[in-house]
Amino acid sequence: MKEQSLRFWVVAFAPALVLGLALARLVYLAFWAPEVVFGVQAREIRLEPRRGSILDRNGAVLAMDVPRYRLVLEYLPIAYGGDPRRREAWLNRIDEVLAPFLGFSLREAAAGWPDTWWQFPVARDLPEDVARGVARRVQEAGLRGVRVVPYWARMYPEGALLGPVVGFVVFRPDPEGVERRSGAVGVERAYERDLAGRPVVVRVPVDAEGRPLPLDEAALAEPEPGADIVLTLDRTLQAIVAEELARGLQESRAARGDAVVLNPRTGEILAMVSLPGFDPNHPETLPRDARNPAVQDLYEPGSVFKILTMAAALEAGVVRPESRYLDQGCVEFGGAPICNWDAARYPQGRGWLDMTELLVYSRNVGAAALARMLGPERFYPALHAFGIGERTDVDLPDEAVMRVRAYGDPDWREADMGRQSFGQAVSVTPLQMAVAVSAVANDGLIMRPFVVREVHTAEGVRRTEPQVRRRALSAATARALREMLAAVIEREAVKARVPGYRMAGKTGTAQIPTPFGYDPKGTIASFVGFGPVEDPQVLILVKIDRPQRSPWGSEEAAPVFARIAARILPLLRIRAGE
Amino acid sequence: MSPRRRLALAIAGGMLFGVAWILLFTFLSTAAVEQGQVVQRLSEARAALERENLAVREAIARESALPRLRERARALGFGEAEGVRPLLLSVPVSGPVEGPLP
Repeated sequence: MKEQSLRFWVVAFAPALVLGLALARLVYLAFWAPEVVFGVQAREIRLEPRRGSILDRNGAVLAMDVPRYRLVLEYLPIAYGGDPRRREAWLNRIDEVLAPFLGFSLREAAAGWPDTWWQFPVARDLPEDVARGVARRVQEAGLRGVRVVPYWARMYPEGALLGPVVGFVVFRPDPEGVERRSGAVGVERAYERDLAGRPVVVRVPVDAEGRPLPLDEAALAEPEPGADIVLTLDRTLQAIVAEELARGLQESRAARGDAVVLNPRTGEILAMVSLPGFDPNHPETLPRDARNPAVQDLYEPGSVFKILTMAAALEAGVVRPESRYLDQGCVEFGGAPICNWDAARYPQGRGWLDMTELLVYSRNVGAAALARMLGPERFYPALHAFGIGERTDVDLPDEAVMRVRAYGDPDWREADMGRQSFGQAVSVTPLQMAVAVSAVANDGLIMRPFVVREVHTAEGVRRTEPQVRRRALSAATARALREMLAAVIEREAVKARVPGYRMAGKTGTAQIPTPFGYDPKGTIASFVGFGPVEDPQVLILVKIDRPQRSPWGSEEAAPVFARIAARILPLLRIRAGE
Repeated sequence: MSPRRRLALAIAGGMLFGVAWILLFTFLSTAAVEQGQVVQRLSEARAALERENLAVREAIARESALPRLRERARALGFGEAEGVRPLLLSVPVSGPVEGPLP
């Protein structure tokens, strides 16, 4: 009996040990370390959030995320085995069901599927209705290994109209090294943090075919969508400005140009156009330097800069509007000659002129005389007050700025000041020039320019309030200068006249610097103006690069300014004064 | 009852308890998975509705975009207003006439 019992224990020991260990392992996996099982049979799913929309000031959609679908084939050896004939049969069956609906052969689309890949995308950019159709057919036919994977695509319904301002998105690695969409240019880049939203990474157990098994709440977590952004831009104004600028470029046979429209009272940018633009819907086709030239490209402004020199002189009290000076064809300044643009026609100048006439006839010699009267100690602080040589702090990325060679700098020469007084040897962006002149329109105050009016987050609405940057000149000086600039349009730059409105402005014809001196062939024709003079509510800057028909701002940029103003002032409900 | 029989009974009882416990756990897990699947299906249905909603918004945005509006206007026979100058009208505005109310 005892011997029999011993035999029982000897025989039973091994199976009991195996069973006991298996049981212990099961208990361990079930209660102490379920993640071990998940590690083997789990999938990490990254759920991308919907990127916020970008809207114009009236709520029109300028950029939005739209659902698109990718059709992915998954050949699962566990389901079909490794037999190539079974794989062929499987592909044939898929093709039979889906090819008539999709209009192309999935077999052919999967021709380049490497053997080592278990998954292969055969179609992308499928819209919602097609994706639903595919999913329904897959379900009805009981197909396995066909997945319709949703993703977000960025869509810009207005196309190239707002490309440089709104920007576009590209795929690039985030700080964690994960490839994600992020803004590359414009508002898309400047407000990346608000627009992006927050993705969710969920680790869910899956069954043998890789389908998620929702076991806990974490698997149901959802990504946080990005904030919607409302711009100060009005797409209708933008379209008008783009249309008139395009017409200006065509008529003047110029290759490119820019236009900026802003509200000088608040700093709101109402339109910002650069032509030729680009279509953000196809970022893969864009050049690497796709950018917003109104903010990122510098140019020498030429005679429009005389507005600032005159403002500085009036503000300092060295002249009054009725002060007179003797206009000569050419003068010497710091050892360098300075000549009027029409010195060939008026070699002796136009004689005695008052300050309004200085602006009306755009006298380089007169501007240099003002700079001489101011002296560098007053001239450069005045330019600084207008924000020349510094960023405007606009809420757009990569704003360009160029140092102004100023009094006290080792490379400064007196001749520099003479040239700077009429807009040479100084570089600005179109936006910087517009903002500087806006001080004249806004009783001397410079506002911070901005393009984003509101950010709609889950927590609420964040509004951008108009912000005074500084006072560039007194209100009285600004008012006097406005009248002088109104005379420019009334007496000389007649092509800038706007029927029904009294406007003020100044032409500019700038030479284009090259590494070998100024380009003798091309100019930049520009016009900056605002109105109505009594209560300026809108400022427009037009810049046309290298016009071929006429080099002058008064001939090429002024009419574009007038046409833009004539169309947008009524839309802005600005009443005609005449 | 002999000690051996008591031991055998205890082992059998323990095993039965263990099996019952595992069955209960399996049943609860299965129920949790099924409930989770229901919640996930609902969540997917909601996501699908949201995507459908966005697809409609996309269609609206595309149709109301300026290039498309122009295209549609041209198709309807409207043309660009070339060389049209705005006609400015001066309309006298008068306030309400003072007098007894009706």
